[in-house]
Amino acid sequence: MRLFPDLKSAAVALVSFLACATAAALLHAESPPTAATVKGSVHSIDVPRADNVAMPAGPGLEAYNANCVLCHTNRYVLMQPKFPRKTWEAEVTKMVNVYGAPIAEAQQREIVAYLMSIRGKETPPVATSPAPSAGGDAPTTK
Amino acid sequence: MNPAKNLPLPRRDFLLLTGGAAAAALLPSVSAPGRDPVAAPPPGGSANAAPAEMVRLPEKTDLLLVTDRPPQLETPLGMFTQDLTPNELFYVRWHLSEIPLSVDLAAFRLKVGGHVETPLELSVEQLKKDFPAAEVVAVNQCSGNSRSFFNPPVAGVQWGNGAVGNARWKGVRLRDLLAKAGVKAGAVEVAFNGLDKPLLDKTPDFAKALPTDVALQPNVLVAYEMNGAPLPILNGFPVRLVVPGWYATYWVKMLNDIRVTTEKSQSFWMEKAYRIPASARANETPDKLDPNTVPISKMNVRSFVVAPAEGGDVSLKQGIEIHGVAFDGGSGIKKVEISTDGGKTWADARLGPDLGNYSWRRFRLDWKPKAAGAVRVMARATSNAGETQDDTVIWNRSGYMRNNIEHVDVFVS
Repeated sequence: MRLFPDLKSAAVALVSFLACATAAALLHAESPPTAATVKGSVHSIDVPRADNVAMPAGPGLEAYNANCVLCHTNRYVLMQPKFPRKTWEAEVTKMVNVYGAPIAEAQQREIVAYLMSIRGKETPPVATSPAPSAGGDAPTTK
Repeated sequence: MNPAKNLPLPRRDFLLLTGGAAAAALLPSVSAPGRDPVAAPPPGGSANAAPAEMVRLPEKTDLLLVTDRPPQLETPLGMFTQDLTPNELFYVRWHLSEIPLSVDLAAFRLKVGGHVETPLELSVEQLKKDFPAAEVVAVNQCSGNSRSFFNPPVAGVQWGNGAVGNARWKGVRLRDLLAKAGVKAGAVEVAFNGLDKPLLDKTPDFAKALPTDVALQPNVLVAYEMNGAPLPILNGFPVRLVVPGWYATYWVKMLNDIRVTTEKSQSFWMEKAYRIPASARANETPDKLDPNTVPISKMNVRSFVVAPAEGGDVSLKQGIEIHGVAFDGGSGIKKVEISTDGGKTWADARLGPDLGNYSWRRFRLDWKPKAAGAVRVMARATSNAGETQDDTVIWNRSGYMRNNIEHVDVFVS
């Protein structure tokens, strides 16, 4: 995209940019961060929930909702890339064995099924050294 | 979705966790309409997810929303334009389901005990009055910073490159506290715990430990100030541990318990978590995991190109100032080199002020492109200890310690 075909348009763009940047800086200065509340010696903040990202439908969603959101936001799951079954099984097992999540075995299987349905990669992982390119291309599926 | 529906907790616990009145408060939807939650995010995690969700939490400016529960925020890379990262820009990371949202400063006590002559219980006031103050400028980087770039991907918080910041920390030297308590012979480690507690009894409480000789190093601080102000609650008010040069997992927030021990910590967060392959560069492959692991510790050398931004346009006639930040695990930055021809040739960038070996160094280079077209801008840092970034993209099962040469692709016209 050719943004600046000549010096004059570049100068105009630069001045506009500086004006916008100044305005933005002033706006930012006008809305500083919310301070913590201090009542006596008690310092406190409110952290509102942002669970407005609904989990997508899928088999086993009920088991997920009954067990997983007790401890963490849906976003922890939704931010994950696609993993093979082995990885999701290990994650759910970790929740139970390490973090003490009280999930019955049948429900664990349902949760894995659900996670596979929304973030599953059925192809076995490529068992080679990582590619030398920097920058993290998404893994390709065959 | 009604959060109460998803939290089948006894009422007492629900209120305890969500602070009562805050329970019903929801952030206004900040995700743009049409954002597809089914699709897996692209590499770069929340930082690169389009459109990025920004949120403004107390004591913070608009930052990338990673999770709301626990609260975790990432700093957009383009904001690293200063020697010191303002407190309101600093990233936020917590391990457990909830965090304490209020602290009674008058009631707060930091305990120093265990294998010592005289256990201590100190208020923040006493920390400030009874001990000499010390300062260090130091980079705080999450062990898993940049995890979202790992290939094959690794489960965990999918950070972009913004789980890092540089601040001036002020507090009491840990070794002064330990000297006052009197460490007894036979001490092996110093263990640290904070106010945050797990939701379930069986979840391991977040706790870390340092070998005694590391704990006694002069720059390890119990910090009560960050960039000249009290710590934001989200960054560990009222005091946190500062371990310059080491990954942030050790920098325990809301530090309230220091315990000298005669045995190595068996905490999950030391024994099982936060371990790296013992092999060189913490590198392994998925099909050949290193049978030997060690606790993560010192940071490797690293740099980021902050400007130009990825995918940006650069004027052929005017050029642009390339700038960014570089740091290592405590020897300081010797040089940062820039390449704009895919790594064939390199030029030295100018380094910004030296705020000490644990601080990051800003770097800049005025770039006048020679021709129009696509250009890959790369930065390569070398530390005073002789460690240099290279093209090796390491992989390990936990997604730690990424430090390959970064690049930014721009279009010159």
